[in-house]
Amino acid sequence: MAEQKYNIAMVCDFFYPQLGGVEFHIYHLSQKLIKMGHNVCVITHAYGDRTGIRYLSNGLKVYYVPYLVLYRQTTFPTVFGSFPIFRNILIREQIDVLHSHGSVSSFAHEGILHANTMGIQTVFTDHSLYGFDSLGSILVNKLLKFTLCNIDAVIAVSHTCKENIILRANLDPDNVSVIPNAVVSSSFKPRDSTIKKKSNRITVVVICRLYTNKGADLLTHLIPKVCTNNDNVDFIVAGDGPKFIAFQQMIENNRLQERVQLLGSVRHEHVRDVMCQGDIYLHASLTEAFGTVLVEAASCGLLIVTTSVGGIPEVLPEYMTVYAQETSVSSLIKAMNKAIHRIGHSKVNTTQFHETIAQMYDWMNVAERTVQVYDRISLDVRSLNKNWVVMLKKYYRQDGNWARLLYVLCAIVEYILLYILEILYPAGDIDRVVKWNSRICRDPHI
Amino acid sequence: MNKERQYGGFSVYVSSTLVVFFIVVWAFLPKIILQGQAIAEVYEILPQRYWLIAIQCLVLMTMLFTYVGMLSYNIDMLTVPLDDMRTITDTQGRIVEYKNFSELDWYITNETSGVADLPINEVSRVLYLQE
Repeated sequence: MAEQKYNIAMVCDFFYPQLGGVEFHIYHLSQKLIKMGHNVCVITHAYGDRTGIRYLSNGLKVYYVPYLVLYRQTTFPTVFGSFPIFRNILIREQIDVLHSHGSVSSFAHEGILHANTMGIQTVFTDHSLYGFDSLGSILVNKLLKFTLCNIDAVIAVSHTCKENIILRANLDPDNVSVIPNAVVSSSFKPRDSTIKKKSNRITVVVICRLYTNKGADLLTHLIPKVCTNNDNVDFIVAGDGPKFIAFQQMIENNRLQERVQLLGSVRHEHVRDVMCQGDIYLHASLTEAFGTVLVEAASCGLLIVTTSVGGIPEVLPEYMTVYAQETSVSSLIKAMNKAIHRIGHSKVNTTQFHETIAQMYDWMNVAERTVQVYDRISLDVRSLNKNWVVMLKKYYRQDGNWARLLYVLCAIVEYILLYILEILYPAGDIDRVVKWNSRICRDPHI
Repeated sequence: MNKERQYGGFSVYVSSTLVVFFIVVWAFLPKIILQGQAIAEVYEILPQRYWLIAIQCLVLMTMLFTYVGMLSYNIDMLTVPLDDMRTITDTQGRIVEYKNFSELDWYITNETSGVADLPINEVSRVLYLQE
């Protein structure tokens, strides 16, 4: 029996030209899905003058929808505002599965709501961990409860992330799958081992956006102490963010200009070159759902020193990492000293790291597992999951006496809007696109 | 979770409930009942009750106008005209470079590890040129 091919829409606020874990996850997953014969388009908001439709290599179609951006590249959340454009794109592309990414992306939430209303299967991937105690995370969790009410499947990037989202959104654990991220191991090759390092200096690489939640404050305290304790250690810090000035001050106050290089933001294709200058990769993040950058660094043959928060302990085998017991400066310094000792006395063989990582993390594997999720939800396509009354009932069964009435109100307005849009712009008048994969002959062996 | 936060949260909960309770009483209690009592003095300090309705209407209308305004802003200001260059390419795009058609064909059927745009004329050739 021939495998079913899907028309998939990836929806997220974050995509190229912004760079980051979520963006690359969407890009690589889409590319592999296209290679498997599915048709994929990405729906995101316009970034500056990058607006309209772009075709990327391999025929990945990206809709850059012109939309008001509110804060940190997140669009203005209006529950119904994006319905006309979403309906048009989903009909035009004849979408079977809508796959949303990221719980702080309002585009992703609205996409799920609209697709549910139109009877399209929906999948949501969560990429980050959230707490329960700050105002921001409470709001995000409320929003998640609303949108994930009628979701068909949820994917988490690690087991920690799975537990987190089950608690946050009151989900049925059977409905949540764990599919980790991957790396393109061919673009993270270790440095040429035939070229021997001349000096006995040890270089520590830090690559992260310099935010507080990525551990920037810990790093500014940690780096001077490590430098005074160990004369043979240098640092390379790559990344930009609000804490960049704190790093500059730290360097000047401690006169570390010779030993700490501050590179600013680095393009993704140059990350490998930066990593290969080092021996140790230091990761001081306070919260992390998966930590793709750790896999990339290990793939380059670096020993990893990291805090053991969130999903990080699941990511790499024990012998590639030195964990700090607590998320504190003193415990990170302890871990650093251990790692410096191991590197200095050549007690760890990093040459095999790349091969191991290449076998462990592969995007093709991620894509295959994602398709299994699609297969599972499209099997019960004829069930009543997308019936409006059933969906309305699910909204009404949520907790919160006022919240559930609000949910029901939103859902009913959404249904009315669908009818109004059908009168204004009938689905029959919308052109259907020519699919890329119907025009291309692919090698059958892939 | 630390103690201060728990106390803080509880006090916010209690005070906001009290404020809502007070506003409801203030809005619905007829003035005549309170006449002659000491509490009637409080009514003199507070602004006119008319503002209760006025502010609510203002908030509701602002929401409505933001909605309409934002949607029109998206369509009228942010959407570029059809004959604009920005519908085709932009400053942030990296268009693939190719010397001959076999090189281009590689980009059409294979992925690049970084993002690379296909030139629009080649996309049209693939999609719409019937051979």
